[in-house]
Amino acid sequence: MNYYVKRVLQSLFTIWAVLTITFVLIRWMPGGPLDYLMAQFVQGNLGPSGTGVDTQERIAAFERMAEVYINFDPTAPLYVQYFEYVGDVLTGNLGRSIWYQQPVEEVLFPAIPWTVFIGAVAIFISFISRVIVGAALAYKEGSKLDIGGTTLLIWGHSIPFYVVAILLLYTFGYQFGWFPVSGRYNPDPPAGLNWPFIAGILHHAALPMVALAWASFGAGAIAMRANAIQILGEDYLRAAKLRGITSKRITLLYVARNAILPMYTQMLIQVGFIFSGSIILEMVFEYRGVGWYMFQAIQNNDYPLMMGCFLLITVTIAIAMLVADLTYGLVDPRVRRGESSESF
Amino acid sequence: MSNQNNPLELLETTDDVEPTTRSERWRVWIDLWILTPLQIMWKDRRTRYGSLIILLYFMVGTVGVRLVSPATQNEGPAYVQPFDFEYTHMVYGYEVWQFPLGTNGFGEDIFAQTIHATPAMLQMMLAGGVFTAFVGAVVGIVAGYKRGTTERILMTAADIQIAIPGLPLLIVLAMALQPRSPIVVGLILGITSWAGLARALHSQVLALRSESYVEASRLMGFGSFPIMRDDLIPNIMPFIMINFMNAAIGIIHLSVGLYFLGVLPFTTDNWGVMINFAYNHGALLSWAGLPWLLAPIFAISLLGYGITIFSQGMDRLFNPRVRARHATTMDDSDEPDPMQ
Amino acid sequence: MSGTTEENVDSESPRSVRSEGNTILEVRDATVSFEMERGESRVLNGVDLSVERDEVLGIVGESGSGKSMLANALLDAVVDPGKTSGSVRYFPPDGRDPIDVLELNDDELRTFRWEEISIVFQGAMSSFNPTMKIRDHFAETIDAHDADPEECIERAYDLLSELYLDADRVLDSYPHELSGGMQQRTLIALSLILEPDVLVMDEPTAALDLLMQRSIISLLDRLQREYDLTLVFITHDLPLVAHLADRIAVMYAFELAEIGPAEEIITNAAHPYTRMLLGSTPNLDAPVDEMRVIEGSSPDPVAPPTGCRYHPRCPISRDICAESSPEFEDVSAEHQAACFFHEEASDAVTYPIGEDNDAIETEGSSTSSRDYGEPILSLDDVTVEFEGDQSILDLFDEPEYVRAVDDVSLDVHEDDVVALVGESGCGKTTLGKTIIGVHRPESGNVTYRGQDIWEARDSHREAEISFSEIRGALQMIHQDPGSSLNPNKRVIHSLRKPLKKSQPDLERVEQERRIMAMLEYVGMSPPEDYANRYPHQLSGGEKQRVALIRALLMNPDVILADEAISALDVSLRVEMMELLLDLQGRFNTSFVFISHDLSNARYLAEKADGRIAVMYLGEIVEIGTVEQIIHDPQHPYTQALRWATPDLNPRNESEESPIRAIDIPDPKDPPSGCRFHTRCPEAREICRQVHPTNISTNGSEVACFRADPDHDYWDSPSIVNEESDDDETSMSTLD
Repeated sequence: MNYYVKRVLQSLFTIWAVLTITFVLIRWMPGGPLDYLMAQFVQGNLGPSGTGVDTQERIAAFERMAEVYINFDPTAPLYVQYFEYVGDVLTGNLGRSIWYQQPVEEVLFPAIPWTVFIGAVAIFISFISRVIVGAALAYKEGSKLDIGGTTLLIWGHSIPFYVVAILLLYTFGYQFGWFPVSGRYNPDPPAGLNWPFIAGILHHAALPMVALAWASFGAGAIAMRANAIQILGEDYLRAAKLRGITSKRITLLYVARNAILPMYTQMLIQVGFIFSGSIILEMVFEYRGVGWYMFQAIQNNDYPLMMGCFLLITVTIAIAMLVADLTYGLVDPRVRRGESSESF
Repeated sequence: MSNQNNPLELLETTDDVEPTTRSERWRVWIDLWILTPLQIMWKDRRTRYGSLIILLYFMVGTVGVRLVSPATQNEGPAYVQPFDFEYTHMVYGYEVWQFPLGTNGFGEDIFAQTIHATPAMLQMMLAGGVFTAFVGAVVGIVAGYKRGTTERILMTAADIQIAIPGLPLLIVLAMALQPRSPIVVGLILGITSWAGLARALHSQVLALRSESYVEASRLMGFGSFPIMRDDLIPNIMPFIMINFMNAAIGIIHLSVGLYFLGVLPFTTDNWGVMINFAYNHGALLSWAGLPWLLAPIFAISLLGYGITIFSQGMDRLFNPRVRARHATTMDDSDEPDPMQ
Repeated sequence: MSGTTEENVDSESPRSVRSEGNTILEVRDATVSFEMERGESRVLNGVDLSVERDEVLGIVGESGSGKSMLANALLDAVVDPGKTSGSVRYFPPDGRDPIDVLELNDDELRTFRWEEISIVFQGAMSSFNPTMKIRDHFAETIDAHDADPEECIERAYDLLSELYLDADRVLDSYPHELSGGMQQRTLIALSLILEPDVLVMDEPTAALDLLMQRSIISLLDRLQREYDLTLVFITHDLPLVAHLADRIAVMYAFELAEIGPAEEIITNAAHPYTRMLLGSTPNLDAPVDEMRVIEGSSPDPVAPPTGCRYHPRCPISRDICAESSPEFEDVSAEHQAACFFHEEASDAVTYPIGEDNDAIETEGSSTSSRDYGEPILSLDDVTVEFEGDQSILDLFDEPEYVRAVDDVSLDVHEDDVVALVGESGCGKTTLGKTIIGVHRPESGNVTYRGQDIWEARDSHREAEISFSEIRGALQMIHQDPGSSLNPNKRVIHSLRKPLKKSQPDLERVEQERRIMAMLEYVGMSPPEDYANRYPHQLSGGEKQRVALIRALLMNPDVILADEAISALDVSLRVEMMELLLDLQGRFNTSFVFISHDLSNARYLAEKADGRIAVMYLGEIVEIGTVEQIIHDPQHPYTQALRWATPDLNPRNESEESPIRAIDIPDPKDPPSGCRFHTRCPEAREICRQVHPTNISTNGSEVACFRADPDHDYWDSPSIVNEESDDDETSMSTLD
């Protein structure tokens, strides 16, 4: 079968597998969503309560409630539960948040742009800076700058990004007071396309962006350095120099281009990482994006919301990886030929 | 057509080859597998410092915890600063700081907390690293060598695992299972990292299995197991070891993150728990909280740094060229450098 | 290509005669050194050389002789940290002042290179930026030298089409989309884009098939005359340049050993090394018994031998050779050699060229008188397919299949040698692996002593001869010595493995005794030392010998040797083939020998009284004894291969190319009818439509209508001069 068709089918299969896993977790996890819902219901925190309601009615009420919160009726036959659940999720119905008493999608969808905004800018910053740093170290390979720089990069890589986030928050947020310590925007200027409001957004987002960019910077710069060093030793570089090609052109079209291309796939895969890493990051900065809601859901045992976040993040990653694989051939001419035909 | 006049019998040489004695083989073995690696490790700056750092953590985790008594609440005032000579006590007749790294907001000794967190972290790291390396290696090698349906099933499983985001999955699992033993925590954290290794190894094995010497072994009639053992694994061992170390670092980062988030039950002293407490209990509000925050962070990053540089120098350990040059039981006759 | 008549006439006169003062490059005391931990490594040592205007100078040497360094020094292009000293002076043709190349600053070098002298490296694939189209490579070069873009692009089109390339297609391709031969020709065009006066070529054809090599040489010959080029051609392959070069310089151990007119060097070499080199080169004309092996190995650049560097290997060396190094002495007016005793060399070291070799015709005429008996292995109408590449465009298409082997039948007998010959991509390796039961054929049978191999495999133990027994009886030696041994295991470990399989009850001591005996036998002595080495401590030739022992210890009936010697240095090839032959006789093993080189195939097959099979696009087009294939080839393709195989005899004037297209057709979509018809010089209409079957003519089999004097072919119209629409690389007009 064709590679592209195969790849799309594989992604669909992955999404299906994740759906099934979440279903299993919701259904059977000890102390998980179903048990929790049941307990809440028995305690009368959710659904109709009070005496005077007969058992039949209570069970029926619980079934209705389960349907609303976790998308299936736990008393129905298993396969019916399963199809109900999958069907609902595929049509965009992710259940109802217990804490917010709102449909999960209504809670989550407005949060997505904030997470994407931070993530996209962070990827951009990280990409540019590691290309520059990696290439600079490669050009100076073996020098004091290279040895010192590489050591620093490894150090940097050894510190998790959320630790960096805490340190940034501590230093520039709490101690120096240069940046706000929580929130997404200033309450004072009215929301809209005016500069003070936008400046407020950027002000709030600055520290999270830097912290997130840090996450892939160290390893990325080391990889870029290695790629660039390899390319600096290639014959075609030497041939180009002999042909009299200017060093500017060689740097851009020969070294940079060939060293960066292999990093393309990696970059798209980071899209997934951003959503996943946003849980800790947004908790640290109390930044209300997708990750913050997931953290809240954990804190409050809001299982429908938690599962909704999990599904959202997973599907995003599956799509990002699919896009990365499918488009790589367009970016790098070399992979178009597929498998080599040297076999005979 | 069995041994009808084996042609090899034609080759008789008069001078008999001296059989190698058992003790001699032992000597060679020790030289090759113990002395030589140590020598190579010492010679390279990266492996030397890396192994020293790892050894330091190991000593702290085993001996250090016996020397330093665990921290208790209110053993001193809150926020004592590091190296404060007002608080000293006698150790083996020497007057030393009572709180070398100061105390936290609860008046606990930060140094003691950091030390006592080490064993659990090391157990987690080892359990998770071994799990990742073992599962990743088995899946990757078997899939790469066996091809066909086995390959498809294993690689699809790995691809799905890669596509599921690690942290959210771990949060969900941690909430469900509430693991208390550090080893179990390590194993659970390993679930998210084996697939990447399996995928990378798979492609390495695919390349290796078409090497001439692997095909030669197949032609001799050797089965899958001996070929994997003799021809494949020794050649990808450096890669597996490097990934084992990277996985170990990843496990530390993940566990600290999960403890920080508070989704894992707080059992013993733990760097992540320390950061969590510092974050949630006011360390951020003044400069006095800095040691509380920095001590666990430093512990994490030094260990990560040590492992990283060790793993970078590691491939030399497995390189037969480097080994041959260092081994004393082997004569040193490299080819002349071909300059062109 | 018309308009070359004048030059043609000019080239009729002996090129070696040059007027004085016509030097274009003058090299004096050129030395290249690298600082290494072990000391200074001089990879070029005090070379003096003059290159005459419009000549073709061939520089010949084995790998590690410093010839590439000389090439680089001509453009001051030695890579860091190498240091070049001495002087290289360039005399511009328009009478400008001479230029001291080594004194130029970076900017001057930038304009000097490519406008005055340009260079073509060996690996064409690695000379192009993989993510840039060919057109951009041309454009940026033109741009960097501020040349007129329109004029230059026009020249690029001219050059490419003269090199039988479809210029539009090539320019709009990425490098990897071109075959190796196409890339190499494109690189030549790129090097000539600014009309340099000198073109230095460093092993430009080494990685290519013989037919492609020879075709490129033909093209170069013409380009050189047409563009008034001075060509410095560096190669390890003396016969390759024999016809192209006006003069030949031979390098040994980073110094020049001998220089002179090509014809004189070949017929009357003065330096003992040159004579040994000539004697050790397999070629088609010389009697095989007269080929020699050069003993010893090339010296180390850090600690070269004292005195004459060749003296440790030289058969006529005396005390003085070890004490002082010889100066160049005149052999004749234009022929110098650095040897004290060059007058004695011709008697002491003989080689077959230059002597009359009419003798071969009568001597080697043992026609297929052999009685073969029952075959060990037999292939019956075997077809092997592979799934082809897929492009981004055919999303839902069924994958294409490449028929790597198409309907081939072949028998291998006891104590037999079958040499499979053909261009790369013709399916010879696939066929070889099918013979020894590695690839499973889609259709047809492979039988071993009457037992179908794949039936035995499927039925496990029920077969008459079990699969494991068959497996052990069919072994292989691979092409690349670098990957033939497990890099992590010592030699003794690699050699114990086959013994464990073939004789599991053997005691450890006895195992070792046999391994040592074998090592000793193949000349790796002391065996205990070699047994304990890792593969990286062995040379390429030694690795191949260990691989050979490994195969032999299985006690096999048939060994497939897949290009097993082509990665070795020229002087080692004969040695390795001798070893194969010796072991074949001793162990009663049959060899299937795969090679792209007809002369190697001939050497082995003739000595073992075996056969040569010529393959083209998955089919065996001709098979027969050496006598038939080499001296009386029937198939036009065999004749083309015969043409492409370099021979040394300067009296065999280089004939014109017998093929109409340089590039091999796409194996995914082979031509209809006779697959060779697109390149065949004798193709007729019927060849396009009807697929020829094998025709037996006195012992050999040929798949060509021409072998049948009564065939319809003879009435069919010729298609040779037809302009076919898809055929951009037609060669019909060459020369």
